[in-house]
Amino acid sequence: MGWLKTGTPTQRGVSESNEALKASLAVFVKTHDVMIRKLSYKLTSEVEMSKDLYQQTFLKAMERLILPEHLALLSPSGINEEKAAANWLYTICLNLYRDHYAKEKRWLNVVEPQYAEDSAQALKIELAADPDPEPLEVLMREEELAVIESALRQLSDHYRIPLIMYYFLEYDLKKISEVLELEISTVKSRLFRGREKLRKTLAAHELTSANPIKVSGREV
Amino acid sequence: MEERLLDKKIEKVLSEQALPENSETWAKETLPLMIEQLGSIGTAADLRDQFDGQTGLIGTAADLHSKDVNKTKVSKKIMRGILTVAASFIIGTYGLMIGAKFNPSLAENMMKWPLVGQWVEYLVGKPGLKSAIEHDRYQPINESIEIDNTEITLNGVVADQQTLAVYYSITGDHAEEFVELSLEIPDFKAAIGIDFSGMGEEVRLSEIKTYGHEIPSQFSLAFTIDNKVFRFPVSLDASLSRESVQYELNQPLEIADYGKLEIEEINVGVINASVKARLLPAEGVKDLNIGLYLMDQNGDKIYFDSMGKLNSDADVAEQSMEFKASISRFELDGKMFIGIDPKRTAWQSNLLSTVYFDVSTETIHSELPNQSEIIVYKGREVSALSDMSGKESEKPWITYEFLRPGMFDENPDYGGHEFGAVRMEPDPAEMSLGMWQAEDGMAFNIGVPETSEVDRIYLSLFVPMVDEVLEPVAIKKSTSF
Repeated sequence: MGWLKTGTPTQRGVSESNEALKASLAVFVKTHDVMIRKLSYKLTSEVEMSKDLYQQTFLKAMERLILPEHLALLSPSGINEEKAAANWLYTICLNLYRDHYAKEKRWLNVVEPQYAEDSAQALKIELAADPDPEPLEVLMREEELAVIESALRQLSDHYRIPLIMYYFLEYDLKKISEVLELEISTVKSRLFRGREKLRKTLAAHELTSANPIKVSGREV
Repeated sequence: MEERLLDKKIEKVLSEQALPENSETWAKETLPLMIEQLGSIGTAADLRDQFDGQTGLIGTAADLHSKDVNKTKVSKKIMRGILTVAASFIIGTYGLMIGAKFNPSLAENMMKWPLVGQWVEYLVGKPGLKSAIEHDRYQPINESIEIDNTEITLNGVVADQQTLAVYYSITGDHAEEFVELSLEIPDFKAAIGIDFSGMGEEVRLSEIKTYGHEIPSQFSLAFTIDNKVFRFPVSLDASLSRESVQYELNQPLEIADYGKLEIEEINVGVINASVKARLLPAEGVKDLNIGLYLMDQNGDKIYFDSMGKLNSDADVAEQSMEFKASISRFELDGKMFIGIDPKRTAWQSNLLSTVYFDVSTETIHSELPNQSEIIVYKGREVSALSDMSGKESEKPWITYEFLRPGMFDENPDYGGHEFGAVRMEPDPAEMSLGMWQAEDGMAFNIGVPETSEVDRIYLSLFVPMVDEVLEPVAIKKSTSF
């Protein structure tokens, strides 16, 4: 096996005790904690479900991380290995969601109105742009962004997942096509069509003050 | 809301995400679950303990190998078992996702290779290659050539009559760079239809489809990096690469009123199926893009890539075409059918080739009955095109994207077929072109070097046959080697 032949991984591999492995796993979880929390929430739009997905992602990852050949994923050295480890973990999260959670979510979509309103409250958007924005401007942004967020939730996973991979995970088309097992042309098409669907949904909302929208439980 | 602003807002929402409420404790709650599961797995941890016990005895990996050879052998066995399970898991997962049957022997066979985990990913979307490996058709070579601090290792190949999957590794100065790979056989020194997997990985895969040229048992593979040629003589093991199944069809495939496709040969080899055919467009039809597929008795389809004579302004009375699809002879099961998917097939009329685009004014000129049939999807933008190693082109490029709406396909997985043909004034040689079937229509991406002073780009439009119904036809097995 490679780990018997190569220098650094071998030495790292043979010197790790069980305790060291646990410590490495803790560091691994801590490193990816925030991003997997965000990704699982982005995918499920629901707190309990995202927690479940978060935990399953790390548990599934661990099945592989304990193998010596995946030492580079567990204890990456250098930016490339760190990036590879992160991408690998995101793929696990995406695949788990596609295999298990997306089906459950479809059921939830059946009771869309109540569910959508509840989760709109939880999905407040973090605003990071203007350091000292006018209150009205903040209000408008929150309002608009919450509507966009809501439109995104209503989008089918078919379009939503490629959009999340492209914009949130910053995957390129090739990577998306590999993970989703689609041709690049299909990925392009879904990204394009997903954006179009979002635009249409939002156009229907007509984001103006003449059309009040409920955001975070208050009427504006 | 203004469209561009709306786009920015959409992108902002997509690219950002707040943390779920009260999620700060999730990591702390998850870690004990992992430790608990780690205890139940046991084997890998035990294995590590075994090696921990040896740490004091050894200085180097070589020492470990020589001093504790028996113990290592046992450990290797355990590792092999674990890796087989891991590979089974990975392949099983992917197998489910691509709807393919999982054969445990794939995991077994893959144990003969290095870097098992990484290689599995390369097989996604290549059911023919996957099946060939499953049936132990991988031929290890493991030869290396080093030139000026760059070493290329030819790990091995999987081959059939017209396809070669090459696994290789590059280390040294140019390890991260794009490599040009040529299959050198008499009357053919080009690599057509190469696709690359694993750029930046330890082992890469290139699949070469020769379209019409049979790969002999002796040939050379030439890798070119930085003008240096690494040439490997290869002797194919005929017992691994020459099996194939032939089918025949004694009637042409009718393409509604637009023409017909005469099937001359259907050959399913170790990695790929290939079809040779003659396309006969009907009168008034200038050209046809064909969406050909093979279908099994369960209705599962696999689509072919195609390569035919390029379109020109002259009418094409008939043309020879070759089609390839990633399916192995080992996957053939029961009755087989061949068909043309009307949703992936499009025709070009003599009357529909007069749309052009003036670069200077960014105006679309069309003689189509409805001017709105073609629109500019995305305006002019200067982009830096880069090759696979990330090197940017010396010239800045302008890219244009177009969408021709009007076609909507009910099957959302549909895509990948190229429509249309384009020419450019004054010099088409410098043009880069991408086209794809979007679900809202046909999308074009055209790139031209900014310095090439191109004035006009012509778009030759194909019309998809969305309303036609074309039934598949059963094919008969003729010979099997």
